[in-house]
Amino acid sequence: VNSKAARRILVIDDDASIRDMVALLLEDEGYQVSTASDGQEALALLAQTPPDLILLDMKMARMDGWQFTERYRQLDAAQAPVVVMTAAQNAEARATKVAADGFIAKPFDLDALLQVIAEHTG
Amino acid sequence: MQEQVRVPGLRGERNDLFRLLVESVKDYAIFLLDPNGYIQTWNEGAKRIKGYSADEIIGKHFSIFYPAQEVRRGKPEYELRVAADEGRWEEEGWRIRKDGTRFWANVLITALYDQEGVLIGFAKVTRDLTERWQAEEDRLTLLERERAAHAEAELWLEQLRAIQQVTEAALAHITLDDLLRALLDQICELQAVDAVTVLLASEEDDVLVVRAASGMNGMVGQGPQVPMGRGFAGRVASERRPILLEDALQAEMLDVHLGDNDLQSFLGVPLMVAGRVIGVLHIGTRRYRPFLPADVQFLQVVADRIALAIEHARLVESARAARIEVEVAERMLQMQDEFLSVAAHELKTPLTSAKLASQILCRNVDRLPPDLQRLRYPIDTIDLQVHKLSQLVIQLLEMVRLQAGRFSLTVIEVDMVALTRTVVDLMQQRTARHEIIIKADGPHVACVDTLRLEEVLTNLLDNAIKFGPEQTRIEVEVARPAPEMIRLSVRDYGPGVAPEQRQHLFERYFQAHNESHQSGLGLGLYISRQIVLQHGGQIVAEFPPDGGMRFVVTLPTGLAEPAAQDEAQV
Repeated sequence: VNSKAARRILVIDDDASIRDMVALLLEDEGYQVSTASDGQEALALLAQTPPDLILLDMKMARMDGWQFTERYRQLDAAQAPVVVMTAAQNAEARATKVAADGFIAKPFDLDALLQVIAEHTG
Repeated sequence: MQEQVRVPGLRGERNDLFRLLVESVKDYAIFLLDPNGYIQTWNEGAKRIKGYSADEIIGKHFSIFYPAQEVRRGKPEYELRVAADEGRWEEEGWRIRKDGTRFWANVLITALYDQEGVLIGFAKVTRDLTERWQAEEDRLTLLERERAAHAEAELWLEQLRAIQQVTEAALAHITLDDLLRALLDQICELQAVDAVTVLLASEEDDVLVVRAASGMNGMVGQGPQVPMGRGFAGRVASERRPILLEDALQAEMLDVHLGDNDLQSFLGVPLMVAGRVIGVLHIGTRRYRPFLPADVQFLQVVADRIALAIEHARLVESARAARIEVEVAERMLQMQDEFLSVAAHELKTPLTSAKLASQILCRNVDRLPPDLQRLRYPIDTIDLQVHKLSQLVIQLLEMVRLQAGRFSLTVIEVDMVALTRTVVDLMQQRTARHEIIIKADGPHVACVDTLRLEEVLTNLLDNAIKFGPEQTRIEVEVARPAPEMIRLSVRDYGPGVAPEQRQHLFERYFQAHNESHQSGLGLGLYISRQIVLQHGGQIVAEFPPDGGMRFVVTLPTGLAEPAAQDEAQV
């Protein structure tokens, strides 16, 4: 329907309801969404379909946001922008540490999420 | 008149010359003896050295020059015999002057024979070596004294070294108690005494308490206290000098702590650090012993070292206590940080999905069939309350961080106008009852912690929405009154705040309208002010004459100083 149709977004969060809500919202908005519950699962997904944007939670059990970004940066594949979603007090500092392209602090408003996604998917 | 010296074998004229020579020699006594030792000639030197005139001495036996003891042993005769047999006798020894005084002499006796080889007498040459001997003697005495002093110093040093080893070991690691125990044993041994005691002044400085003892029965830890200025130890401390107690059996001032240890002689010295008496060190013997000045001196040197070691141990102890305190505090802080981090995550995670869920519902509520439109109100309520809950959680967490001193900013360059618009757009969605108007004249870039500034604006707008009557305006303005300053203001047309309460507006837990259940935790303005202050800005409340109130935030743009971009720690 619009330019969003081509946009693939990978949502990585270990909280199932956040994952599902974000996916539901973004699909309503016309994005193609895939989800992963940790970094390791995300790396496997990336290999199949490279996303246009990654929404990344930081604190996850198996492979957290720090480890994931480190591994992701080493891949030969084209790099999608990474937007950090975190419940940490200093969300911005967290984002800076992993050289993320953007960040959004939990709990976030739907509009704020859509805005940051729009910013980074052009 | 003096008999002429005639040397056999020399002819008259030369004999006369020779006689003159011998007679005039002043530094040597030169004279002739007959074969039996009787003096036949005398010269000037002999007179000077031995004190006799020629008249007095010629014809006397030469043993007159020897100490009586040697004469009794027959030494003069023995010397002549040896000289006759071997041609000469030479020695150094004591001789006696006419006045009875001794002098150290170098004596040479040479046998004289005639042409037929018959002994005709002896030539005796004597030199006074007293001065040389004295100098030698002095030198030897000096050497001896030096050796003795050296030996004494060595011994002293040895003792000090033993003490030093102990105190240095102490300085390195061991506790004060270990140090004192080791020192006391060492002193017992070095000073050959039966008992050693260390008493330390109490904190109030009014009594001495036995801290360590060797050779004393049951004194330590039982707390016998000696009042300052009283008794033996008490006097040592108050008079700040060594005190000898030679016979305790005769003394009236025996201390309670000396008890039934059967000790008779005591020596006590004060333990001083930087002119301050911190205690007393005393030694005691069971048998009577008059301690010598050297004992006093030694004990005082030891006492000085002990005092230093005690002071050092106390410093180390208090440093350790302080370090432990710091470590505990740091551990507590770290635990608090960890708890905060977990709490933030655990509280915000469910809120995030709840918020998203409620907002998805809100967005789709229009598509509900007419008979389900009545769900619009409960859906809006969920959305509003989740928003409130989110704000409260954020405020609570910020508050805890502020109180723990763990509040830090992460600043980046951002357009304050855009930031304000984002917050206003989000807040406008939450109120249909108010119109939020933005007045802004272009991008105004500043270096700020964006999340925190959004928080400030959200707090101010929340208040305005909460208290502003329905259908009133809320005016938001972003301006740049000076090149290096940004001004944000939020104006409502609500009830304002009673004048007597205005000074408390930014205080923690302050509730302007506590009769209303609308009020939150009373943290929003407090936290907002802290955030603004940490940015180096100010926040004030104004009360315009036409009603309502206006919060004005002024912030430095922070662009002039690149350092402001670093993470600022509280």
